[in-house]
Amino acid sequence: MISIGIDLGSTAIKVALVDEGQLKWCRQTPTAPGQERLAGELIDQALGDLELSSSDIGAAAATGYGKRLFVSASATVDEISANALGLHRLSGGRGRVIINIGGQDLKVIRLDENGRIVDFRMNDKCAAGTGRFFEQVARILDTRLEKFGELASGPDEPVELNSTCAVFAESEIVSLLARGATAASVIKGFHRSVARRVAALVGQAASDIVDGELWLDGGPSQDPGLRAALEDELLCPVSVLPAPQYTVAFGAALYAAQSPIKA
Amino acid sequence: MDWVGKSGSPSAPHAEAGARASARREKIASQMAQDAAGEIARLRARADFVEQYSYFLDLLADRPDKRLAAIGKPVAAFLCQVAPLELIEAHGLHPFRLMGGHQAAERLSSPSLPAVMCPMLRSLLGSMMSLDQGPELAGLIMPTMCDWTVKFGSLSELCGLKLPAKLHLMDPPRVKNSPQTSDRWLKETWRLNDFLTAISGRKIGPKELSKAIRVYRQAFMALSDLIDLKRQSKLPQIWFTVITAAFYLDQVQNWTQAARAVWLAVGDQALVGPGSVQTDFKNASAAGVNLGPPDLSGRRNQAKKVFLAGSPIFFPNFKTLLLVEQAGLETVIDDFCSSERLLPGPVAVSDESFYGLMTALSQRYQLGCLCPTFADHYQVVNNITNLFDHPLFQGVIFHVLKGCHLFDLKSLAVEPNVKGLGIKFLRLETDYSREDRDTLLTRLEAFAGTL
Repeated sequence: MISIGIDLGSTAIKVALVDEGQLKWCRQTPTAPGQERLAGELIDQALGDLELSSSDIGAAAATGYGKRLFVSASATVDEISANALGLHRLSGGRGRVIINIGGQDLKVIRLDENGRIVDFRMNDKCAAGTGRFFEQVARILDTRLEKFGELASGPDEPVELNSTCAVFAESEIVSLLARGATAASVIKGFHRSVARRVAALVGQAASDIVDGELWLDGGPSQDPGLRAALEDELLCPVSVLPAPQYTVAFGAALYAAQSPIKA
Repeated sequence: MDWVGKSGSPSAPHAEAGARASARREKIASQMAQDAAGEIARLRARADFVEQYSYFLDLLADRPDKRLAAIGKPVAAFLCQVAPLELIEAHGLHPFRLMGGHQAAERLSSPSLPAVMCPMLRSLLGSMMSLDQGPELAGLIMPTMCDWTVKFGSLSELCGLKLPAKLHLMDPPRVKNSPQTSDRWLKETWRLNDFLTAISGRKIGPKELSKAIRVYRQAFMALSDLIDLKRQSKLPQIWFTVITAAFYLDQVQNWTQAARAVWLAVGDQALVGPGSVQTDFKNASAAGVNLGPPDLSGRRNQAKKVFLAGSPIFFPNFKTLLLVEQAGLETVIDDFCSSERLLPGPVAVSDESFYGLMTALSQRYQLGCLCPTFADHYQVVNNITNLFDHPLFQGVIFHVLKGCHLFDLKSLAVEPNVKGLGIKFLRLETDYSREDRDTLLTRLEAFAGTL
């Protein structure tokens, strides 16, 4: 029986279809008004692609900040628990520390060997280091997010971005560009500032991490420059899944499969 | 006496600005009234509402200045739970704790205050600014428990407020357990007695103080019984907080009686318990009050039990309490000075002389104070960790109001101790705004999942 996970995040709605614990389909669409309709359209698309009907769906769980907007879900689950479930499965049980960079928050989740949450931390009420921050920098630099990794791989020296406040960072970047800094050096500096912020959240736990235990997910984790900056800051390898933006939706689907169906 | 400083009549060029300021005050006061009424309406609509809560909701529904005027006694206001209530009561004064729980009020005071600051005091100052005419206060007692309270006078000036009454600064020691501490605490209690004598014009003796101690002992017993109900999952934290929030808004005897009525209504103790209960039960029955306990069995079975610690919570800002509930958690223990630690405990009297009573009172308040202001915070930490043996208890949520540095630091001290015992711990930092509800709920739900 198919289970569905719907992650209604602040910047994107992600849907994952899971069968017998295996990810069968996943897609996303930008968050906009009418979130339940948008998620429903993705589900319809999935059923069409997989040649399934709605009667094949056993359960659906919604997660993310908009989870209560998807009223037809059979269950809801918080995104931290969904993230833990999803990453534990997708990492083959190796993940012990998850760094999740979402649209409006930053999470560090510690798991035990069974994938249970031991502890977690989240950023304060501040957009610095979140997906929104990435989008903002992309807009200032007039550069697509997908290009960040490529630009950051060049020889340019990173600029020192002193501010980790998303609002002040904007004026700081504009000022740096006016003084001749390249986009690549700004992106490298930006990656480093985010990595430092993440490292502060990981805290002392970083010293206990064994190779292969630290995983990065969420949309911005597709940026290889960020991963490199994190490895440099935390001094340990950071693993990234092939489609890291779907981990939470996948976890929600696993949760749905475990949950009793709502009457 | 005015709460708002007015230095003579405004000059003509400033008249328009004065009118705008006045209109702004009225607008915010109206918003505060709406917020309070909205919260009360939501509370009344809850499935676990029982009529016995109405007394407390009615008190909270009144504007504090009007409510205090209705009490019919001169009021001595204070800020922290260190000022002995019994001593104030013995002087024929009504003790009233200054509290700020309105987010809207912060809009009035914020422009004049530091950006990062205790939201409770910011709200309190804003509330005072919102009133054209505050309540008559006989005196203002300010225990200097944190930097914000030390600077209360200066902060009031920054907000253009004139202190509403003569100010008495209490200066408790910063070290809780040292050979000098008890002496200093006792001296502070005597100094307070002198102040209260001056403002009330009433010199008291052992008879008055002894009577006040008895009255507050009854209140403490009623509070203790309600705490027991909370431990048994019969009294939800939100209602417990409503009851304690109304503590200063009426004569303590009336509050005690109403608290007893709640105990009868939501507990299973209708025919057992302290001596006055039988009478209360008969009175309640005669008044046609339903004494049957509400059906909380579902909640009792499903919710995960937590200890809620940290910065106090004041009406109408029940955001954190409601989110804790929404996350499927039930608070069975708290250590808020606004809630379970409302009263430090019954004063143990062995010497009935005035000196003996004053000494007993001083010791009670010293020992009962768990404020993180003290340099030796070990007792504070131990008081929390010792409670972990409570069988109903599965995790700790530490509530920190942004800008409340003492509880922020305390949370850092408590966290490793708690985690060292294998107890789950969640630090929840917030302020009076509502914008972080979703992210707080996410944390609480995930925390519930770990228990």
